[in-house]
Amino acid sequence: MEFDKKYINQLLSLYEEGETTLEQEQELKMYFSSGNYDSDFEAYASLFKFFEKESNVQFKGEAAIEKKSSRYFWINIAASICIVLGGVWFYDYYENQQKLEEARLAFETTQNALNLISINMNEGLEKLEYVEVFSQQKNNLIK
Amino acid sequence: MTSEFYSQHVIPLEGKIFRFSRRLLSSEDAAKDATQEVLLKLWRLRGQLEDINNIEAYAMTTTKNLCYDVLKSKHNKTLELVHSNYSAPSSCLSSEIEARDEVSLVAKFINELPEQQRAVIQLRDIEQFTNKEIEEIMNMNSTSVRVALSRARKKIISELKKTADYGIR
Repeated sequence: MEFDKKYINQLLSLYEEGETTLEQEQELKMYFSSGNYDSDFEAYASLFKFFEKESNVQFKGEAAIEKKSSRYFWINIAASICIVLGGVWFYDYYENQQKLEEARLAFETTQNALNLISINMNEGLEKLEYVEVFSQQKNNLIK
Repeated sequence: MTSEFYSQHVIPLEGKIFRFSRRLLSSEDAAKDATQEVLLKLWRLRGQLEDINNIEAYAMTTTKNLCYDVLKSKHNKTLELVHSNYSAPSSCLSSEIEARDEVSLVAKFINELPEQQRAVIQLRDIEQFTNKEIEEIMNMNSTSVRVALSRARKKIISELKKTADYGIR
């Protein structure tokens, strides 16, 4: 497309005043993106190129977040499996420990009971000595 | 129904919202956060979106308000944000290439403009909103939109001409 330098100049001064319409600005953009602009307009060219480039910047926030979550997904699963296994193992261990404790308690109570009986029995034995003496004396007399 | 409406009318705007908030906040990361927040806000309002006649302008107004809030709170805790601000590690290579380009000079000059002029030039020259829409978005009257636009353009162009004259590239 051919553009008249005078026309562009006029558009640019309108542009600086903020008086151009969007269509006229579009024309300026096209003029500068075509590449063969007048070297007097170098400053304007970099401005319009910048606008062109800026309007193509895209938002990439969401994609990054999705990627992150999919990577953490498997780590999450592994962690929960570890926790569940750990829980089961600990429960098992605790249960065993509980059983051992009960057995030890039962053993101790039995031992105590037996000890008590044996002490009482020994006390009874002492009394039996009198019976022994008595039967000896009796035998002496009867003989 | 409403979620369909949302994905048809709001999702295509995410680029515009992102670019606008990036221009206002001058930080890639902060702009990403702001964009997410605006999209979330619009999602919450999805039931009422159909009653709004210009969703594009509405989304831009929401973005502007949110960015101004962010900027305001940033001024209150400058110390905290000194280090976390103005960095975009992901675009390291692209910014290196950009630095050789005269185009990045324009970005620098635009970012040096006052907030309002920056917003107006972004809306008009990059996103191609009409002056009427800009009035609505920025809550300004037609004269002040035109004046802000003209000042911003003149300033950038004079800066560009200056660097060209001194041969600083």
